[in-house]
Amino acid sequence: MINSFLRPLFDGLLYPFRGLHPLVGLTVVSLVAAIGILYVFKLTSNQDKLAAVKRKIHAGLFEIRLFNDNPRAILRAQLDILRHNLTYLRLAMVPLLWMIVPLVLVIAQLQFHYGYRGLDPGQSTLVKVELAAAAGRPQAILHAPAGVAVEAGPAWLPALNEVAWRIAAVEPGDYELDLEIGGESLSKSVRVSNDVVRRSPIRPSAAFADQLLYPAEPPLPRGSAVRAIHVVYPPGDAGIPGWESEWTWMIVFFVLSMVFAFALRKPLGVTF
Amino acid sequence: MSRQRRAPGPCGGRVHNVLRAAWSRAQRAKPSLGVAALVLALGCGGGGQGDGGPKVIVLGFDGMDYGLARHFMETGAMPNFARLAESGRFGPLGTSVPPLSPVAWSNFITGMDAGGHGIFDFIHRDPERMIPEFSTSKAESSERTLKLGKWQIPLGSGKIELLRKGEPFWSVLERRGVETTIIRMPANFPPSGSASRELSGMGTIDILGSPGIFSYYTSELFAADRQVSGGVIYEAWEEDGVVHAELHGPDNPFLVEKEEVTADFELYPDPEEPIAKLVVGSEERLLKVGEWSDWVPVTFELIPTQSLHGMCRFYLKALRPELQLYVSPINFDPLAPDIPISTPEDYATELARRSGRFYTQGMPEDVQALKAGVLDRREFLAQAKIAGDEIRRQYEPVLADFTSGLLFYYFGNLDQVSHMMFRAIDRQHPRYDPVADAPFAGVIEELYRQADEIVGYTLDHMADDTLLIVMSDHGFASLRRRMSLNTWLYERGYLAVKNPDLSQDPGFFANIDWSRTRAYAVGLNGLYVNLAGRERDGIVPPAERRALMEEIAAELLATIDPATGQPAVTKVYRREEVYRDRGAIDVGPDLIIGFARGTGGADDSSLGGVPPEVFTDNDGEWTGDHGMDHETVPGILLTSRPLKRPATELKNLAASILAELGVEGFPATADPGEK
Amino acid sequence: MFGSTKVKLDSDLVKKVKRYADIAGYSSAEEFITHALEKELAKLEDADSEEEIKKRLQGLGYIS
Repeated sequence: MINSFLRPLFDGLLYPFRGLHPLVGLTVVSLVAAIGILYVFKLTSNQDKLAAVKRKIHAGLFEIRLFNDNPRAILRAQLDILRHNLTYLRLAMVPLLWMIVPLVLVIAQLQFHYGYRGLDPGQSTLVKVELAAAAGRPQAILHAPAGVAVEAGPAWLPALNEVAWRIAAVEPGDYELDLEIGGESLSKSVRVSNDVVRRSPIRPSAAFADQLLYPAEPPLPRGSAVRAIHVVYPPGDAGIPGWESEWTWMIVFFVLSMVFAFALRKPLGVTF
Repeated sequence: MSRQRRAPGPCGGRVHNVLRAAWSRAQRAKPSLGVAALVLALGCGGGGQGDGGPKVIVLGFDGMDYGLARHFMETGAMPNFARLAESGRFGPLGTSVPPLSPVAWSNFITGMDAGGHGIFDFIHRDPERMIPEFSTSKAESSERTLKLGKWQIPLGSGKIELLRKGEPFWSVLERRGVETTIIRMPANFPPSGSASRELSGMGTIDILGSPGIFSYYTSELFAADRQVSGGVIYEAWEEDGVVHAELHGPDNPFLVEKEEVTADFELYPDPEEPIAKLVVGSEERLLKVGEWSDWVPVTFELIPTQSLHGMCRFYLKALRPELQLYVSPINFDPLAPDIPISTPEDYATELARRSGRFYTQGMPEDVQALKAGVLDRREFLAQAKIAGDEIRRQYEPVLADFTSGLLFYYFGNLDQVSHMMFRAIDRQHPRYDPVADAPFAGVIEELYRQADEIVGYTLDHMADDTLLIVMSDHGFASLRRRMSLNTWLYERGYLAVKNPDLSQDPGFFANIDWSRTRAYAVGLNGLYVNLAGRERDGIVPPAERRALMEEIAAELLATIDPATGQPAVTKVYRREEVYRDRGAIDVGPDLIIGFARGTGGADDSSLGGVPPEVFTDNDGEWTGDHGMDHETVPGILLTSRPLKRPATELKNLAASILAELGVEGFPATADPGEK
Repeated sequence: MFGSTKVKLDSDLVKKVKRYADIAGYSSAEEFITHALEKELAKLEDADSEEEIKKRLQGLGYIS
């Protein structure tokens, strides 16, 4: 439900960056995320207490420097630092808890913009239908739209409970594949484009966890004989050649957000 | 001390540093952007237009025969060649002694003959160990290793060494400030390092350190007992809807005990339809029976932080009644090369990014699979087309990048396919079958047509003032008869065997009794004296060498092939006479045998075997060849305008090219009489 | 490299080894045994790599 609201929101937000180098969009997104994180931190944490605890930790460190010939004092100071550190963690936990839900949702959306590379015209990939239960050969038909060609299949792979096709991208565009599986009519999106756009590698089942993990496309109907439909996209590289991985963008995102958060904490008056 | 390991071993230790590669790419990108901007500002932009310096493009078509090319030019099959010949020059180009590609291209590269560059054949022999070995490169692992239980860590890097001597002509050009791009020059692996851009070609190894070892997985009973050359057959069955099998890599260099690294793969056949799903690591492909996969990357884990990056193509030949799955030799992946295959090191990666992964093994056409019957002729042609198309596709961006200096680009498809398809145009060939060969009668003409198209494409895309040179290293002839030099030597008493039942000969010199052998053959055209002090078990005193050579030469020239009634050998060259260059002559055979046109050396003999018959009909798939009297198989030279310094043979072609680019005095060490 | 392993040898053999190690100029019987074993192993390893060389040579299309 939330996803059906977030999908168009993120599509819209990232629209200006679709034709640009992925790092441009990622930098802006990281900057916005950093500001967001700082604000949430400011609003939900007890800034005064945090500042006090940080002062106490510094005091402890100073103590160690000062009494460096007194083992007893050093030990006591170390215990103090440890205690204050735990307090710091407790205080920081509150905003982290506030942030975790929106962050997961945001990351999940971004994953489908930056985690995969597009299909180029001429490129082939697989469409895989995961069946819910083992049974005999299902009737399976794939109707491909004009911009996509079916190269091979259906192949029924009983050991995997799967029906698969190989499709080839022909022309850029957003398409819906129409599938008929055992009398059930289902569809699956496929995007032929190299822009930074939302790509859905999996149309998930209606189960909550699946929807949380794969929010890029509305789930399959409840009670379907199909558990999920995959369109395999090559892993993205966040615009860094040689770094092809579904997680590359996330590393870039976290590093940039951290850098921005540190750089902006003073101007925004946030203690953490 | 660790023992010698095969080539990829030491290289596994080289970490592919993506960051560094990305950085150097970025660095390089800057000036070219600047140049591009300048060109636009001056308003002289345009495809393939140069910056005003002299421009030479050399297209090398391995094995293009002078007689056949002339014929196809006359029949209209090669209009671009014909057009070029009118404005420029077309003629035969003298080849090397012997006329084998690594020798011939080395003549071109160094401006010297084999006496100078030291490549006399595909195969030489190590006189100390008395085993046949490759002539052009040698792999050595790190000598010292640190052993930790079952693991060992190579200290210092192993290396692969190019054995060709002499300075390549492009390094002279680079020294004079002329930019060069050298793509797939044979006998240039590992790449010389002196060109601005280089990609290694013939001689480049697969992941097993070989020119190419394919794999074949089948459910046929006892199939794995069959030994084939250039491939390995594995048994594999479907169980509960899946076939579990392994891809086989080299020995793990990090293990003290020799142990092959492997990578699992699964094949899921559809129980009814002729289609199956292939899973290799995280890679998935759907393959119909009769289909080839694209390149499937495969990673071999050596130790947790180190892995080898290979890739292979799968061909699903059949699912029922028996599973038949061909897997190409595992090539080093150009997207993450673990061995040096280009200059700069990431150039291969850049090419792969631009026009796709490509065969990195030097001779990609899998002739061995056809000879072993694992692929039939149609399947072989499909595979050869895939390999040829990759190289043609890659030519486009390389040509587009070329603005000045020298571009050399090599095409090996014509040579390899001609070897396998020659009988279809030779009715006299012992294996010629009018019915079976009819569908293939046009294959060779098609190869020449494709070469012509490449020339046409080049003419359309190069600047007008570019000099285009089209060349080949040798010609071609039908291979009807085979002659085993070792058997001939044995029958005449020059060579002795341990077991006179020659049908049991295991090859590789194993049956030769060195204590009574005065001469032996190894390689395609080489004959050696078993010389005391040079060969490990040499018995011929140096003082008697010359007389022995003369005696053998005279007898060889007088030998008549009973089937043809003609001499089997038309030339016997003494190395001291036929080679004018010196420096590496000691490596070579004492005598180089020029077989009569139509005759070639026997395979077993080439690898140090002594098969039962001296002469046999050539009944294999390898029906065209060129390892004959070099005067009978010239290559071609076609230039878009007359050369300032005409070249008549491979050896002096580079000097002509350099002259066009304003550089004289190549090679520095050449015999002055040759200039 | 790390530590050593004890090997049981026939006592007659040990006597012989000691005698010949002396004659051949080895500083100890151990050195002699080590050297002899290394020599044998090197032979076997050589044979191994010869097998590999053969396999690799067969990848060359120009010969069968």
